Amino acid sequence: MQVERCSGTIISIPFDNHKIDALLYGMPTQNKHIAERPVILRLHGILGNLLDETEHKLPSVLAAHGFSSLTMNTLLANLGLFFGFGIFDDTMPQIGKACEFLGKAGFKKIVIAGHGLGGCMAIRYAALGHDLPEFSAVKGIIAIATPYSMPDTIRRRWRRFNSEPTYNEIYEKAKCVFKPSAGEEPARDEPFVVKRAHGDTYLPEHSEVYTLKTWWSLAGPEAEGTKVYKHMGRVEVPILLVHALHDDILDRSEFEDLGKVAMDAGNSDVTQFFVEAGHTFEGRHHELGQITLRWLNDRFS
Amino acid sequence: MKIRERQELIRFRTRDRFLINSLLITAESHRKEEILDIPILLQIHGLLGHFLARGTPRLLPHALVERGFNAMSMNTRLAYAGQITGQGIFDDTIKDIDAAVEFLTREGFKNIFILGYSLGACMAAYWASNREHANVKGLILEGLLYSSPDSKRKRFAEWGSSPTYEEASEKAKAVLGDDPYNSARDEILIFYHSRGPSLEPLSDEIFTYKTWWFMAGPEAHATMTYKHIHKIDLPMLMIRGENDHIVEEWEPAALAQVARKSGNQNIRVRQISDAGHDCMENSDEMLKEIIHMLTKWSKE
Repeated sequence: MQVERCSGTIISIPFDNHKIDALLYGMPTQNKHIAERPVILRLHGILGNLLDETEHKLPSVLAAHGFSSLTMNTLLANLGLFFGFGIFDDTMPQIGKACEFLGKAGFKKIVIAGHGLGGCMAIRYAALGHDLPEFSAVKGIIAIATPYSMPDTIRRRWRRFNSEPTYNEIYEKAKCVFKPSAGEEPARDEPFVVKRAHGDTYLPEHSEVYTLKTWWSLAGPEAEGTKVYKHMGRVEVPILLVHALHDDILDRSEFEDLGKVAMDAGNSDVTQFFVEAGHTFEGRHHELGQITLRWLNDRFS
Repeated sequence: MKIRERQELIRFRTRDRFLINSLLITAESHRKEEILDIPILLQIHGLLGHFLARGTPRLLPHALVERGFNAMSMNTRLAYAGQITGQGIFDDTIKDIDAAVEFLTREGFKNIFILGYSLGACMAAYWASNREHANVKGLILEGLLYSSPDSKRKRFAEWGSSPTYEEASEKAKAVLGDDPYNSARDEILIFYHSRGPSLEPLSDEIFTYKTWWFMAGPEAHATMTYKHIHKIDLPMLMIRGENDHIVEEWEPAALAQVARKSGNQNIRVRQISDAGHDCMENSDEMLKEIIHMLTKWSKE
C-alpha cells in the first residue's frame, strides 16, 4: 500500500460565525525567515478544496525550497456553488482574514496564488485591497490559467457544446431572483444543472451545477467580480501569469490580453510564461513549480 | 491539563485506485508502542460530509484524544460532492474502509473501532456485514437509519419533492438500464423540496442517477441496513440524539433486535439527551457512551 504523509498541518481561522479551514505547509521557525521570505497564500480552483490532489503539488515544491504556504478553503470550496452559499464576492473578506492571520503569525510578505477561479479571486482581491490594512503585506500575485473574463469563458463554452439549458435561458431565470418585474416578488434561489456544459455528453463530468445566486455572482453577465480584465489594471504589485498552451478552456489570446491590461495600466512588473500543458498542468507540475520558484527568488531572495 | 495532540494528514489508495484523504490524530508520546496499544476510532463522515465538517466529524477526534484515545477520520468517495460528480457509489465505500483498516493495521494499531455518523454509520454497518478483521473490535453507529431508501421515500413524500421518489426510480431505470453499476450512461438530477419546507437550496438534494440508485433507490440493498445487520458479530453501540428529526426513535432499537435475534448480544442502544441528529450537541453524554465501549480495550 502506497502511503503519503503530508507535512502540512490543518488549521482553522475563526471568521464570523464559522471557520476558514486551511492547510499550512512548511512553517519556518526562524523569525528572520518569516520576516524576509514571502508566504504563499493559495486559493483553490472551481469546486476545489485544500485536500485536492493538485493542490498539494505546488506547496510541496515551494516547501522544499523554503517557502511556506497556506492553502485555504473559501466559501466557493467544495459544495458552495451547489447550495447557494458560495458567492464570489463574499470570498474577499475571507482572503483578507487569511492575510490578517498570516500577518499575526509574523509574516511580513504575502504572495497570493490561484489557479483558474483561484486566479480570479487573487486578482479581484489585489484590486480591492489597496486600502485594507491587511493588504499591506501582499507583495505579489500569481495567476495560473486565469480567464480574461469568467462569464465570457463560461458563455463561450456552453455555446460550443450546445448546453441544456442555454446561457441566456439561465440568465432570464436568474433575473427573476435579482431583477423581478414590477410588482413581483423575487423568485427563490434554487440549484440547477447545465448538461453539456463542457463536453458533448449528458454525463456528470460534462455537466455543471450552480444555484441561481452563485451563478449570477460567478458566471452571469453582470458578475463584475470575475471579469478579471476589469480589475487587472488596478493591481499594483508584481504579477506572474502562467498559461497552459493546451488549455481547452482558455484561449492564448485571453492570457496575452490580460498581461497587456496590466502593463498598459502602468504595472512595471508583469511576467508571463507558457507551459506545454493542459488546464490542470497534469504532468507538468514540476515545471510550473520551477517557474514559480524562479519568479519568487528573483524578487524576494 | 490539555493533552498535546499530533495530527498527520495521510493519503492512500484503495484497491481500485481511489485516493483517500485521512486525518490521524494521536496524543503526543515519545513511544510509538504506547500509542498503538490505545484503541483508535476510525471515523466516517455523513452525507455530503468530510472530516472537517462541523459537528461529530470535526469535534469528536479531538475530544477523544483529550480523553486518551486515538482517532483517524477518513474521507470516502462519498465525501464532499461524490454523490454529485458520480464517483460516490455507496457499495464501493467498502473498498475505502478496507484500505483504511489495512493502513491502521500496518501502522500497528491493534484495537480499531469504526464510528460512522449518519450515512457513515450505514457505510460502517455495510462494511462489517461483509468483512471480518481481527483488529476491528467494535462499531459505533451514530444516527443510523433502519433503511435509507425507505427513509428517503418517506421524506420525499412528506415534503412533496419534485421529482417524486417513484418518478426518479423510473427515470433511473430508463437511464441506467439493466446493469446500473456498469452502465455507461449517467446524469445529474436534482430533487427540489426533498429535505424540508424551506425555500433555500439546502432543502434540495443533488445526485446522479447512479449514485442515487445505489444509495437511495428501491433496490439499494446496501443501505437497507436491516437486511444485513444480522451478519455482524462485532460489539455495537448505537446512539441516537433524542431530538433527531431524521432517525426515528424506533429505528436503532429495531436494528438491535434484528442483530440480537441472530445471536449478537453485545449491542448497546442509547439515546443521547438534548441532542439532534448530531450527538455531539451533547458531547459529554456521547463521549461517556463511547468511552464506556472503548475502555475495555484500554491498558491502564
